[in-house]
Amino acid sequence: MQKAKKLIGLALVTCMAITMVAGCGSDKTSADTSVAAGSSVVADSSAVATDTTKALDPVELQWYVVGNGQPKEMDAVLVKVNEWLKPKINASLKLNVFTWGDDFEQKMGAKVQSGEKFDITFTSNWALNYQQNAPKGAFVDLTPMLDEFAPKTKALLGDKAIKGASIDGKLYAIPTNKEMAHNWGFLVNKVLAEKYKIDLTTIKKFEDLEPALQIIKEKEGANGVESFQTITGESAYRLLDFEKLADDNVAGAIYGDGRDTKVVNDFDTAEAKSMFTTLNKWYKAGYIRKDADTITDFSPPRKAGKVFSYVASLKPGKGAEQTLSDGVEWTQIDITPPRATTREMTGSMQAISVTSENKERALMFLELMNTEPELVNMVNYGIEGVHYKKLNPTTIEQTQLGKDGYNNGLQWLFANQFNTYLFASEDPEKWAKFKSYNDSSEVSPIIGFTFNTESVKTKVAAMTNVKKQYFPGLETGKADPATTLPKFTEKLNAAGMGDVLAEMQKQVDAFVATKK
Amino acid sequence: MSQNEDVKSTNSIKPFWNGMFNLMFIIYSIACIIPLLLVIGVSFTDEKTITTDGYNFIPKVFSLESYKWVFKSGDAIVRAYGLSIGITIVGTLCSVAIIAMFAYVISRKDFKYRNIFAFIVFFTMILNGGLVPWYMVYTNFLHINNTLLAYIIPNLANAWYVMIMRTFYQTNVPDSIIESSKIDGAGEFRTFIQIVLPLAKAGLATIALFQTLAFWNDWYLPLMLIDNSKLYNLQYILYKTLNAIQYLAQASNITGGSAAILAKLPSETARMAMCVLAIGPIILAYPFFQKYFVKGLTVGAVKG
Repeated sequence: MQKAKKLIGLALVTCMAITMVAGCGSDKTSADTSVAAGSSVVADSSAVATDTTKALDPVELQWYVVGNGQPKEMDAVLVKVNEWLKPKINASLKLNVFTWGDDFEQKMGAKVQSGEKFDITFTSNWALNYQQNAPKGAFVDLTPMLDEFAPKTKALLGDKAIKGASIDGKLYAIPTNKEMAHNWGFLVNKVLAEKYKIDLTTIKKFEDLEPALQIIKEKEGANGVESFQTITGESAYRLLDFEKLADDNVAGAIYGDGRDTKVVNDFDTAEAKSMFTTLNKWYKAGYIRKDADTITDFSPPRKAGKVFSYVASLKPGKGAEQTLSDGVEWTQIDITPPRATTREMTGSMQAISVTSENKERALMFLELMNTEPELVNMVNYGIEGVHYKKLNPTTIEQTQLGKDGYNNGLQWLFANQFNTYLFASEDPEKWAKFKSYNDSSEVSPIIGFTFNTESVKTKVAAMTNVKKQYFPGLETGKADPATTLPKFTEKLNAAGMGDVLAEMQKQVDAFVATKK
Repeated sequence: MSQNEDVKSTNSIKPFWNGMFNLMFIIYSIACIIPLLLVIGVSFTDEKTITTDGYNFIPKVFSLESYKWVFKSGDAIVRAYGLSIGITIVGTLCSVAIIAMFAYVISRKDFKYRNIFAFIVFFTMILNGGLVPWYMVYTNFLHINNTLLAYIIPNLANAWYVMIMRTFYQTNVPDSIIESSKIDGAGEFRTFIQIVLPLAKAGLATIALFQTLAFWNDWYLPLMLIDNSKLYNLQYILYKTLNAIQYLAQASNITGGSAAILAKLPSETARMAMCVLAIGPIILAYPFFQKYFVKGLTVGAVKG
């Protein structure tokens, strides 16, 4: 009896504690939303008023991005940036550069989920997933605000980019103005190619590389040179350039050349099968290393000059860029034509958090980042005369302090890449080439489409597991497609591929219908 | 004397099995030590030699380059080193004090509410609030994010160690000693500090060692709670470097080109050098605690 009483008492106390905590929680959120709503109303009216007067309150804008971690000289640079910003929009910037991977993902995930206050964050299809977070209400819908606070940015990006980055017609983040298309091809070690007089101009498609691989295997194989470096994820399979609907791990794509909008299992198309067969042949001939399906540390052999060729994502000047960073001369061979898909549009963008207390000011700041070369270069390269020296109006050289203390390498992230300075080692025509690359790109028939996995979530996860089991063998040539491919397809079917493809087709058709 | 030998012979195992057990543990120890030696070896190797010859226990081309890089790249690592040491010392002292006191109170049979308090601790071992509420408590309620307290407070009390300590007090500190000190006129604090704690030294040392390890090796708290790069500890810098390299090696669609970014991160040997530096102090801590360690862990079993 005594014991039962005690237990009941304990249960009651626990219940009370739980309800108290829960009560606090809900109270707080409701208060938050009311405050947020109130402030946005006030801000709206004040923003209208500021068209004529400069009565903006001083605010601090917190901006989180991904990169190589916080540079040492950040504080010094921010002082200058803020001196510049103050008279323009009366705001001061606090920029935090987190590190690739968990550092950025976990921290931003916690901030978004817990509703912590901040203003701007980097988002994309590969870090702090835009397509998942935006519909959940993490970011502000910028569509109605663009005309008032960022008209120049809107014009600059153009309809193509804005549509491509929108979800259900709503733009939740400003894409970085950079190369907005992709193509795939080879990077080939120039020294080795010249040594054996290999004519690279004859290589127009994937199979054309074979004679060269044979020569390298015969002459340099003994020196440990890999004829054709293949790694999982960035393998020859990319050259087929399917437009994937979910992510790379999930079967289901349309043909990249935009011939139609029919969803197929891209892993089991005739094109894929013939490629796997060729790769398998190459693997058996020893052009691909035996443990290709498991290696992840692919960069040291490239730098050591022990790789003859590999498949890479290209853009104008990619070969020169890679030559600089590797210290090995690379020539690029474009195989696929440039294409613009949703993926490029959402590859690098800045979103404004719904928890921000200064949403308008944050957008005004992004407008300045996109339109003012002085600001974007300061954020990219630091202070002139301290972190870099100008060689001519568009070319700079980093000082030692700049190299050690402010070397972000994030030109593709901070707003408008076309306004940034170039290094002396870069092609002075880089931006012109980028522009014509963008203009020449074929636009995907389903640009702006994002597959919503919600209704087939578990099946997608099951398919991902199957892919991870079978695909590395196929894409590196280790597995024989004649036996592995049917098994792979069978397992995918068992994991529910039929339903997933049907759902994809349904969503694609609905998307195409709204566009007409 | 002869009786002693008798006991010994009945308790000892056959020489063959004795040898087998020894062999087993020797192999196990080697399996633990070899990777460590390899890490040390690689950290002293020249970077280019690694790409051409692979990893070697004894460096073919000896080089201190990686250690130079670690100390040149910054005050960041040196500062993190200092922080880690400070956090470990302060954190261990505070947490051992709290665990010792809490466990003592719930081990006393004459404390009326001990079961309730024991349950409160025990409860957290089975259920927790989940990540987001956990995060919100520290950031929105306690506001310790971005301060050094974020390293210490979440690790202060550990339910499992409280349980171990409680058992330790119950088995090693007889009630009669506490009673007699009370009769002699000692207050509760005096009893605790002068009578109970010295008897519980072995248990305290064991927990102190575990907590030292926990504080030293912790990278999760800065991952969640620290944004300011000046407050990162050593393990976290190591963790985020390795994690970034892994992430970049797999992420193919990063706009800047993942290979170009990878080139900027520390090389293989530098990573190994960081590992060696991170292991350093904790190896020094072991001999310190070893005396008590075995005793502390065998608690609960019948002892001769």
